[in-house]
This record gives sequence, structure tokens and C-alpha cells, in this order.
Amino acid sequence: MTEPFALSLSDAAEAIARGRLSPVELLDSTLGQIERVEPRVLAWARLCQDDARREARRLTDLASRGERLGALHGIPVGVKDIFYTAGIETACGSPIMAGFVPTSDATTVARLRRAGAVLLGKTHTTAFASFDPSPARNPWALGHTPGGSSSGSAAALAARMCHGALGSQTSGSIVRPAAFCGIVGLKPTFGRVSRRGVHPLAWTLDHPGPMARTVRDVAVLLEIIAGPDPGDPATLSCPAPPRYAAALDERGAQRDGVRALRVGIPDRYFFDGLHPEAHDAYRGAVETLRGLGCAVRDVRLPDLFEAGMDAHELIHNVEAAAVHVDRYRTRAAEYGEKLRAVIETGLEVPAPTYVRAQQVRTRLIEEMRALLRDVDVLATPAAPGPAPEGLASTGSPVMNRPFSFLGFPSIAVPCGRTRGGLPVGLQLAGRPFEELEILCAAAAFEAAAPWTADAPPL
Amino acid sequence: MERDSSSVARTRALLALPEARGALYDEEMERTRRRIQAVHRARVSQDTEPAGAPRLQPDDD
Repeated sequence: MTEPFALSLSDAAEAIARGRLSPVELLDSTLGQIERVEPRVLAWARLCQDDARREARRLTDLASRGERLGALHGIPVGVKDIFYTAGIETACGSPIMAGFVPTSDATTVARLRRAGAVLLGKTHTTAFASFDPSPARNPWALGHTPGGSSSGSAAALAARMCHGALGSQTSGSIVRPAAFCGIVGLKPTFGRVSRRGVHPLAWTLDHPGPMARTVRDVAVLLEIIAGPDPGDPATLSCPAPPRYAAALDERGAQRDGVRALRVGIPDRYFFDGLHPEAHDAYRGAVETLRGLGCAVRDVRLPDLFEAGMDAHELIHNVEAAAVHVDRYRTRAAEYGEKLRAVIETGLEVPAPTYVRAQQVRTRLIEEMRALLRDVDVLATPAAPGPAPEGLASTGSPVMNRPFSFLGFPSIAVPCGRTRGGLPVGLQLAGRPFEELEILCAAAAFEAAAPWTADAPPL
Repeated sequence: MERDSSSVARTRALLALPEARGALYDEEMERTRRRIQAVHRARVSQDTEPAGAPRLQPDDD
């Protein structure tokens, strides 16, 4: 029998709903796994065992009376340490924030709790979700980075130390660590998930999102955290989110759920410097999609695409400088070198250049919308290769940056492993607010190529 | 594009920022210079509204 800690989020939730497993049993099993592997993986910035045990007991009592708070009743989750958690230190991976204890939860954290999740603790982030690495290691190869900035969330999930997690992406911080750690990560459309209570890196590029071990698990989490929030104006004009998990189940039950889905293969950019084994895995993934009945075709990216990526970097640096300028004035030496360079150069970008970069963004959004009228999703590699060796860098976000810039949804699903045993991911991106489309495509792919079922050899 | 050191110094003085720069500054500034040039080379018409404009909702009251 599968140990409870190794169950997927969906299977664990169903076992609890049917009374075959209690929240206390699931938590005990998960804490046991943490005790075994965390000393090597270092995914957690802080664990909240006592609070988690108290909550699991309360949820077990409720379950014994036939009461269930929601879809996550009794499910242990991890939260990236830039999400505010009431009464729990939120240090953002930086000594500058050490000792900061928020008085209220981020909207996303509050929604997880309301749905019955058990908050196990805060997962490591790179400093302020930028590029200075955290201590977290890749569970598939401990000498390799788990990616970043949602490093601990990806590592904890891969190592079976939680069943779901929150991450955030400004350039590539959900999709890249998901790919490096062999899990699933979804960066929603900008505005789909509230940013309230998430420490900003760059306001117009920040996307909170769900991470888990299977596509369906990510759909369950997205359903809970998505939707309007008066605390984040970007969420208010968005269409209502569908019931992702139920819709996924319904589409999955249809034998030809993704038949005739039009999949676009970009003509350039995503293949520059691509690792040969990652390229092989990507080509194999595209053939799998074709075998599922998808209509795969080449698409030409707009001429403006590369300028858009330059615009992304400028906007990123300027907004990060604006976020940090007041603290930087007195505490510059406490910043990591990578974020420090981002802030210092962001301060020197002329204001008209920032505006021009946002105009380039408007244009590229229009042109990519037009491109996505000809195809339903784009399929690309999720990273330039497997997780790089060493812990000094979290790898390159170059494959994910386009969709952070555009605000379009994207997802990473594992699509293979290198000869050295490192996971490689497929990235699927879609039209604004059509998360369901990329979830369905990813789920069909996952069913045909079940790489998500494998656990790292810890 | 050459960096105008006096305008940079003025900005830093205005914002009361420290003079010292980090070890990766030069490397990142070189990339930033290239990006600034690339963005200004991109063709964008004057009536293109910059992304990030206000998202307004009617008042509840």
C-alpha cells in the first residue's frame, strides 16, 4: 500500500473524504518523511509542526462528525516564504526581513486554510524571489539546484514532504523549478490569482500560482486560490474562474479530450542553447501530443518578440528598484549581489525607457493574442536543460519569461529524464484566462507519459 | 549609449542612495544598456497605451 505521504493531493483528499485516512494520519506520515529527507533536501525555511498537529486534530474531529471544510480538508501544504502568514515569520529569504511576522494571511493562504489545508510551514525562496539562491537542494541530485525562486516549494513536493504548495513567478520562478524537480507548476494569467499579501518583486510581472505533483492536483489548488479579491485590483475585472478540477475530470473522461487541439511550435527563441537531452525529450513530448490527436503546427513568433524580452528585463529591474529603494538606502550591504545589481541598474533606467518597455509589452500582447487565434496552445521546453549542477545559480528563466511578460498562463509538466536521472519539463502556454485549456493538454500528456508518478531516489 | 554619469550621480543624490555599488553592477549595467537600446529600436506607435494602465471598477456605493 502507498504510504500516505506519497499519495497525490487528489488521492489523499479522496481517502480523507471517504474516511479511509484521517488528517492526523496523513500529517504524521508526512512529518515522518520530512524527518527522513529534510536534513538533505533543505526545502523548508521554517516548519510549524505544533500548529499543524493542532489543526490536523481539529480537522480529524470535524471529519469524524462528517464535516469537511473543503477540497483540501486535512491536506498538508507548503507556502513559499514571500507569502504572508499570520503569526508566522515571513523572512522572504533575506536577513533584511528576519523577524517580520505578518498579522494577516495573504489572500491565497487564507483561501487554502478555508478549504481545510494544513499549513506545514514556509518553503525556502531565493532572496526576495530574485536570483540569490536559498539553501534548498534538488531531490533528484542533491548537488544540483532545484531552480528558483520557488525553490523550496518544488523541492518539498518532489521529496514528498507536502502535497501542494504555493509559488510565485516574475520571470520563471514557478515553471522552471517545477521542471527541474519533476513536478507540475502553473503560472496563471495575470489577475487570475490575488497578489495581496505576497511580497512584491515587480508588481506588473508578479504571478502567484499553484505547484503540486500532478496536473489534477494543480487544478484543485488553482480552483481554491483563483478569483476576485478586493485587495488586488488586477483580479477584479477578470472572468470568473471555472471549476478546474471538475472540468478536467469531465474532459479527461472523454476519450478524445485533446483530439484536434491545435498545438503551436515556435519557430525560434525557445531552442537557442537548448541542452541536447532536453531537446530530445521535447521532441518526444511533441510526438506524444501528436499521437494524442493534437494538430501540431509550426508558428512564427512576432518580430517584436525579442525586444519584448529586453523590455521584460528593464521593467523587472525598474520595478524591483522601486520596491526596494527605501530599504536599499540604508541596508545595501545586506542584499545579495544578484538582487543588488538588479536594483542598482533599475535605478538607472530612464523613465521614458520604462514607458516604452510597457508599450512594447502592449504591442506584443496584441500580436501574441493574434498568434493564439491560429493555435490553442504553444508547446516549448520548460527550461534550457535539466537543473544545472551547483547551488550558486538557480538556472535560467529564459523559457518562461515570455509568458510572465505577456501575463498569459503557462504550465510545466515533466516529459522525461536525462541519462543522469534529472527531470526535464514541457511548457504549455495558452490564451489569457484559458488555464483550463493548458491543464487539459497537460493532463492528457501526463496520462500518456506518466513521468509525474516517479519519485526521486532519496 | 553612454551612461551620463552626472545624471546618475544626481539621481542617487536625489534619492539619498549610497555611492558604493555591488560586485555585479558593471556586468548587469552592460546588459541593461543593450536592452535600453533594443527597446528604443522597437517600432511602437504613439497611440500605444503602455501596459499597466489603471483597472477601474464602478464604485460600490
